[in-house]
Amino acid sequence: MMKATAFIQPVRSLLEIRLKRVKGVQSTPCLYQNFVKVLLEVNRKMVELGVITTEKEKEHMKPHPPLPGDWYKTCDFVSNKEEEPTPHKLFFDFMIGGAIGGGLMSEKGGTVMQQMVSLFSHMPPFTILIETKHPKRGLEYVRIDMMPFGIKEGAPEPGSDEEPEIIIRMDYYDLVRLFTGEIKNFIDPICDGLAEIDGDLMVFAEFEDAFSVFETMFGMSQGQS
Amino acid sequence: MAKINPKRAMEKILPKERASSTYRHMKNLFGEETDPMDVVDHQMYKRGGLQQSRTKSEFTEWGKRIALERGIPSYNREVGIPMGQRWLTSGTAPGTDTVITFDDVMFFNNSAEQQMIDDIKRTIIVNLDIPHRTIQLRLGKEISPETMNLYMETLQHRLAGGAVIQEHMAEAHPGMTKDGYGKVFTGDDELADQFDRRFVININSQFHPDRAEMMKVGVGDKLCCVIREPTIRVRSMDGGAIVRSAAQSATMAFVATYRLTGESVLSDIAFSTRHAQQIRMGENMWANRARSPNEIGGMAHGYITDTTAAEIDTPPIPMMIEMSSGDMDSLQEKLHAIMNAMQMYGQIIENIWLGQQMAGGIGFPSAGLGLLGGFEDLYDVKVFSSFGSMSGGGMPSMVKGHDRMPDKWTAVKPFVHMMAHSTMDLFDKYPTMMEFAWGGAHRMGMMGFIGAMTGFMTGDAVLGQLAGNYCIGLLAKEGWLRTGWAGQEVQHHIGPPYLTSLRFEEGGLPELKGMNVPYVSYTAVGGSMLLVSSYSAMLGRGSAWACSPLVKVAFSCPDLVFDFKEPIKCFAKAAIREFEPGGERDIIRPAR
Repeated sequence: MMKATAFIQPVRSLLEIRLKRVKGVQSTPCLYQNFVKVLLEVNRKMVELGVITTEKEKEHMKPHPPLPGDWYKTCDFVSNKEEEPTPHKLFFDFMIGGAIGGGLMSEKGGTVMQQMVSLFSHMPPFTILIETKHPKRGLEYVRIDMMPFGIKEGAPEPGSDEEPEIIIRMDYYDLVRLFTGEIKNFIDPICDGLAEIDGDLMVFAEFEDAFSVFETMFGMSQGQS
Repeated sequence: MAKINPKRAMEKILPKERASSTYRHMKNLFGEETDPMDVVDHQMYKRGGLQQSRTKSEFTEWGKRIALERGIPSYNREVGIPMGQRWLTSGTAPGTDTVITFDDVMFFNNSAEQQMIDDIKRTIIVNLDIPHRTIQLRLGKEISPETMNLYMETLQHRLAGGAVIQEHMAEAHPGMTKDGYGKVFTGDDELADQFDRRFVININSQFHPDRAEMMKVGVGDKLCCVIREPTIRVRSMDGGAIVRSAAQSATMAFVATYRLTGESVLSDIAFSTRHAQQIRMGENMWANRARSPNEIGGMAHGYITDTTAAEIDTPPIPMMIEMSSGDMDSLQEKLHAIMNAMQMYGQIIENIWLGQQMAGGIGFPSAGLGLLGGFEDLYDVKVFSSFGSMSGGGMPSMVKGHDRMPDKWTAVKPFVHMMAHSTMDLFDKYPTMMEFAWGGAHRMGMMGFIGAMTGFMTGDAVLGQLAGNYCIGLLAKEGWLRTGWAGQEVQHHIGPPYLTSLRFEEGGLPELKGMNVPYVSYTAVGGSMLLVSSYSAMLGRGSAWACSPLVKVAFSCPDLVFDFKEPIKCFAKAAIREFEPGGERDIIRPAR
């Protein structure tokens, strides 16, 4: 490997000769400063490459700010506009409320129903635990059971013998953004390092598929996920 | 929760499994009569003994012949372990149609492996700027295109073993030294144009255009000379002899070209070519592993990574972008590059450095596993396609919109888990895969490589090492109690802080560490995992080099004996004895 410190002797000689010949001086004043100057000149070819980043990095990997305090008052699918919903209430409103109110019972429900039946009939039974962090309320939990489908509040009780296949940890407002379509799919916060997964990634993929079907009911993610 | 009926689940899964590429691959390897998922080898004792292996049969014959010729017993299977009751491994080298055995990739039997090491060890890069400035400023002589080309011509003569300034010197037969040469390179196209093109490594023609631009920025307008000493010197001596000889060649060529006399100027030029401006491929090692400079053990991982030229024809696009673009052809090229790199590192670290030089053993089979097609299935099918099988929409939708993942352990952990589980599942499902991987011992190597692949996602070699360590040391060894090579008593296994610390000697970047760093694993597969993490991180960042652009350019030279663009093809060619190595003594030995 190149030994940079070994430049000293030849560079000093070069410097002395150049000063003697070019400027006609007899001695070498302030050798150290000149040495640095010449060393920089010799190493002028050592190019500064900077930090390698990609374009998308600028828009990704940054935590999102909290939503405005009254976001839920203007949100379509939130049933109770009086208080900010818990994650359990959010899921309940989005999935169950969406299925009954805007999805399965509507005119376009036939297609969605087919999708749901086809998707859920191939799924093995599993449980997903979602842990959200709210700036004021702290950690909150919601469990999603697949086959048979269910949304339950809180983490499994100790001794209940219920073991989630996957735990997803994320910011509360990121979860809300997923429901509102601002974040396009569940994998985005994971890939951006803003959310974490513990457990089976294949279960996560199944869950994301199921979630996208519910999104379709609202027509919010057509062509997005 | 509903319970899964295992019998019904198996009935559903088995037909799909039988259609998988792993099943087909194992079927091809073990023969049509063998069910790859059967726990019993019904062909045991019926496989033909030694006769099933081309190489073992040949060795037996040669052993007898040598014993008769010299009167002393030689290779004799009668005294070794009984062999051939089980299947003797052979496989097709990835990307070729050459069927090879582990014996074919043993270091002594494979001339390409020998030449690869020789080509690395006989390389020295010398910067010519300081000697040129010394000649200009202190002697007042002009450096012109004519003199520079004369210098290069003189250098070729000197490297061929010719005397330049003294008569009555004993000279080398040029036939013995025919692969010694010197070439210059620079990032300045105008400067490069001043040289006879025979003496230049043309960055523009050797690299993909985008890579070439990056390389030229990296190299800058320095003028560097790659000196390749003849193979015969490194085969009969060592890397230290190359360091000295290259310096002497460069200095003597200056003396002859510019008619130099005078002690101080000469000593400055000699100091520059031998020390100050000389880039060696490897540094000295510690005392009880003492090797001279320019030997494999002293090479930085980043330097070994930069010797690989498998990816230089591909565009420098970060891997995540390639994945999300859905351009499978382009992705396949990168896969081809990483496959080649892995085989090369396996040979350098496991087969040659650890297997031969450190352990003093016969031949590590882990190094040959990939060459026999072991990793092809794993990486092609498991790593890349498992991304594809997820999320229904396939890999592109999975990583769409992401150029790179943050280099956080929590971000990559689920992916590492998925791939590690998938790999261990593979071994649980296929007893033949276990048999193929030396009774499962090489699983740990695969696990390490899986971890190192996080470099693809993050571009971070430290995280690659951390994940590799996690897979081998924590997940498989501590978690599942499944060990193998690199899974046993390796000191750094439960000490990721040591592995990933940048503070040791202030040079703990993965690319600057080497096999001579005492606080990381220097065992088989653990070592090559460190190299793969550097290489995959380079591809993940979309960088043109991992550690040194100078080393990268030096090994892109098309005149090298070993082709660093296609290592696997070279190994396969050597296995069927079609690879022509350098440094042979045909000219001076009795004719046969």
